[in-house]
Amino acid sequence: MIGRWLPTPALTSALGVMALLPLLAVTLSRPDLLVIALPIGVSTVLGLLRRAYRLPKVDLRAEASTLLEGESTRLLWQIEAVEPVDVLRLRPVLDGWIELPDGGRQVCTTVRPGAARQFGYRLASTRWGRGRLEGIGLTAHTAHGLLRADEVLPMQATIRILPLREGFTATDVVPNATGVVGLHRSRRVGEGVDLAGVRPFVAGDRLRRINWPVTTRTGQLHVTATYSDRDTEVVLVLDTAVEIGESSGAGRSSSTIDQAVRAAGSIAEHYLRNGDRVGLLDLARPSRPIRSRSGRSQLTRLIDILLEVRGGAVADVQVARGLARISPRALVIVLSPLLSDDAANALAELTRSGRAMLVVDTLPEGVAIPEYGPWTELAWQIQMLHRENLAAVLLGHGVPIVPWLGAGSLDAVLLGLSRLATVPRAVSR
Amino acid sequence: MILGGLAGRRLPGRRMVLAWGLGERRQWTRSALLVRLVQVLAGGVVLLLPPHVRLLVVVLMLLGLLAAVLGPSRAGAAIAVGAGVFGWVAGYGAHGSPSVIRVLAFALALFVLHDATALAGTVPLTAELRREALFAWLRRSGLALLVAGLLALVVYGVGGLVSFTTSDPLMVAGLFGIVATLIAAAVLFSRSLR
Repeated sequence: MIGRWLPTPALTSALGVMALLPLLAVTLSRPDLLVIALPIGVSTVLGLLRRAYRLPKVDLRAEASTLLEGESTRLLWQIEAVEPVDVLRLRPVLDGWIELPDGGRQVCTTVRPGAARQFGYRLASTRWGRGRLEGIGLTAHTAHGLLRADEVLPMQATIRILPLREGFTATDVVPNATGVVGLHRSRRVGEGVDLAGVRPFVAGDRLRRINWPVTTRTGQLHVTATYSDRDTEVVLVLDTAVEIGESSGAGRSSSTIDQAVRAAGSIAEHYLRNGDRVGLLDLARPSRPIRSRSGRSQLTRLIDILLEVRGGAVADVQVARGLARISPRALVIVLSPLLSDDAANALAELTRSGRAMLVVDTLPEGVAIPEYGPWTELAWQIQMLHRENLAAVLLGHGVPIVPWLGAGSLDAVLLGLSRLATVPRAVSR
Repeated sequence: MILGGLAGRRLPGRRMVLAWGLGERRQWTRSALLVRLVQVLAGGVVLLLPPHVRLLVVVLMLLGLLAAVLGPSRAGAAIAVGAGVFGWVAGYGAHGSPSVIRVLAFALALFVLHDATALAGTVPLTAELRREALFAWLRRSGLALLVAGLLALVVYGVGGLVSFTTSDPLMVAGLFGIVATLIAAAVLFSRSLR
């Protein structure tokens, strides 16, 4: 690529010295002035004689395109030059949740004509989301710093930063295990691994189910009965209307949206690994729900959607429509800090429909509120009282609320919900 | 939400500007600071080598050095170099004859000041100058000094054989310098600055 070369102030200074000093030497009969001008003059002439016209070829890429929160990879530079560029200043244009903690934000290097140079810097992810390499800012100097060319090389490369997913596990007891295959025990007798008892053989039973010890003892054919294995549908509902707390990245302070995204990722991974179907509804974007599906590709799809979570206002009508589409037999896990009235109204609507539901509280412990003025603390106390009110109303409707504590957070609640599912009750549809 | 209704507004103030400046300073690299240190040292030598240091020269030199260190991509270097040359010429008077050692030392210091400023113009304070770039730069500067040194020997050798009180040899040498300048300008501008 041909560069647009412009003179630097050093060239002006050098030409001034080369013109003025010999003139003074002649005028004042001072040969020492000639000698003083020699190094600058020689350096200028030599530099201009071997100057470059073309810019070098620069390539930038990240070693890994997917990282976990807090993980690092290497940002690799590859430079090839055809002509002598004396100093090449490189500035990667980064956007999103990536940074260069060990230097590399502005690098000055050189490369010999006809040669290539490679070097790298550590590129760290700060928080879940996406990081982008958007371009390269390039400033080349030739003729020993006397000429300069600037260029911006656009590029598009994205790095996915996955939310940290704690080793979340939950009991295999779920309220409505209704699917065909899975790891949950249902209440129906059928093909499975959990023992339901031993009963007499009837026509249609499989021969390999015959329980020979009981048959030999009783003299009558008996078979082993099992509970059928079922899967279930889990729908994660994200309340991201309000973001409280500072999102500083893995291992540092978290905001409500950080907690919600990490919890959603952990819960989704657990149930998808168990063969269940998982869907997602972001209340800030209720018109774009993710339908419940199973499998590894569903986990990838859900993680991709979680990376785009930004938060925003909740629109009542669209939320109502989105919630109405959730299957009546799905287990609904709502991830909410319980700070938004609109979200609370949506939850109340869900409760009245009789769905099995629980709320995971995503307000971080000891969250720090930024100081907005002298009334901030009072306003926050009032907000906390309002939140307690909301929680009490939900509890009154039979919706359990649990704080997010990782593995085992939901076990007790899920057991309770499973027992409730067997009790008949009136619902509004 | 209640908190939104009671939220105050914050305006950027002096503290934020100062914090930004201090934050930038924390990102200054050692290599960039080293180049500027060389500028300052060379400027000090250029200032102190002439026999009589004049106040005007000191003021101009310091201003030029400050501008060259903080903004090497601007005209500060020209002011510093110009002030240094003025101080040298004025220090020895119109027809002075300084010793060879002093002349060579001043030529070297002036070249180092000019060269370090040119390098500083390629390396902002927050940029890292990698080793290979620095060594290549020093190699080229060393080569220029070597060639200049040989030419200086020629000048003094000719001066030893021919008296410089007659104007002809000096005029030839001076014309040589002017021609070299014109060649440099012609090479630069004959092919367009693409």
